[in-house]
Amino acid sequence: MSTLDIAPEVAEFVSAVRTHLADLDPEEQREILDGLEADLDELVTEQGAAALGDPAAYAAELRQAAGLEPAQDQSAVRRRAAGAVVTDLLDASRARFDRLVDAVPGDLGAVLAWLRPVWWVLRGWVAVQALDELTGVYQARLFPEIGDLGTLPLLLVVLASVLLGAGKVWRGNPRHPGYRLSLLVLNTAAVIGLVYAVSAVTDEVSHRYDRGYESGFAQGVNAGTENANDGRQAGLYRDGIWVSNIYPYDAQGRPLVGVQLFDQVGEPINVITQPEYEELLIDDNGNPIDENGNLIDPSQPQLPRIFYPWTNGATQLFNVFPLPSRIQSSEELSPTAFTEEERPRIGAFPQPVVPRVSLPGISTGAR
Amino acid sequence: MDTTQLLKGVLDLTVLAVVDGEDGYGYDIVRRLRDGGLSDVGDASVYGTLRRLYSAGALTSYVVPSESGPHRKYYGITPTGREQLKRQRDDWNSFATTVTTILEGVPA
Repeated sequence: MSTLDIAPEVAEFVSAVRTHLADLDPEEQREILDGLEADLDELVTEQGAAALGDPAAYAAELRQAAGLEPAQDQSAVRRRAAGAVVTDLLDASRARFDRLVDAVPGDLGAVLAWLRPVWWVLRGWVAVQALDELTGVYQARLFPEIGDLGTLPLLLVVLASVLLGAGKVWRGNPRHPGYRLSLLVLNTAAVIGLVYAVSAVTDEVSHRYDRGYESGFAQGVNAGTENANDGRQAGLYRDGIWVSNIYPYDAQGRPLVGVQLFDQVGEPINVITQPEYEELLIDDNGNPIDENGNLIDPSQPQLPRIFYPWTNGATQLFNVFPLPSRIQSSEELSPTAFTEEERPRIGAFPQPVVPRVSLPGISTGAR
Repeated sequence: MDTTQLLKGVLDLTVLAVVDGEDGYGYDIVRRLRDGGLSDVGDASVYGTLRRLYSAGALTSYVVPSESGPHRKYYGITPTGREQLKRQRDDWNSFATTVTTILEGVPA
């Protein structure tokens, strides 16, 4: 339909009427609104825009004459029904809880009532811990501080939580289902948050004392072997796959041994090695076999391949390639490995040669 | 004279009668009703009534594109609508006669 030639006030009026009929299904809307623009356009042409009147009243008149239920009644009925369901559910849960409390010997109900203000304070504390978590770097502590405001937010939120608990915040009907449901959701979130916050804070408090020892120990462990990156993402990756060794070739495609690699700022490109275990081959009967097809005694432990660093006489170097390796019984590097009989070896390259490469005008020391 | 309450009862009948004479679009039907003397009839009431009669199968509708503006939705009467019109016209006539007789019987 062309809407180009409709007076703007008509288009606006029809659109307003449409919003008042938004609860009808699309088919009903189309039926009742189709052609309305043309009719109203003619009305405005004849009598002026003042003849349009109030879109809400107009929509109500359309609805009544068309025998469609008034919008607000329908949704109010639905709202009331949903509210009643929530109220029934909450009341039933509360009754079940009260029966449980009554079944316990002693006056548990009085104790719980006495504990309620404690909970109001606690949940305020949890809320501020969550706020701390959401605003920048979270630091677990007993009295969380938010930015430059210090512990002021903690005081305010705890106060607000207590006032809410004491019924001083919500002025409406305390049995309103929306209000009760909101409280239920918030309190549930606070209980879950409490578990996290308490464990974070207690961990922090109990670990504060031996952290000095731990960090010193970690430094000692990492010294000389790798510039530890705290373990995560440390080492070298290709397409997200961890790289344990590098096999370099020169421009002629010949294998190179003893190639030292450095990055763009001159830092060594270290690989971080791990003990490697051969993937076991399985024969038709499900028994482990070696690559020659001989059965492996399953009682013998599988031995790892251990990579050894190069050295410059003072330091172990993991940026010189390929790294030598050997199969040994221990996963630890042996300081005397190169003097032992089965010393670590470079071994075969994955490919004996690779294709030659060249760049125009770049000398590669080719013959 | 406030005829709003009276109108409600006869809107179906008058709309059917007007469309029976000649197919028409919404505002055209409003105009015919007003020209016929029902000057107070609300256009939204007429459009709603048309839509209800259409849903009930008393009217059929078709769209006529316009070169200069939005398309118009025309209504025509169906056999069902004619039956309804005849029935309601008879009802109205007997009802009106009864009311008139009563009114005339009352001493002024």
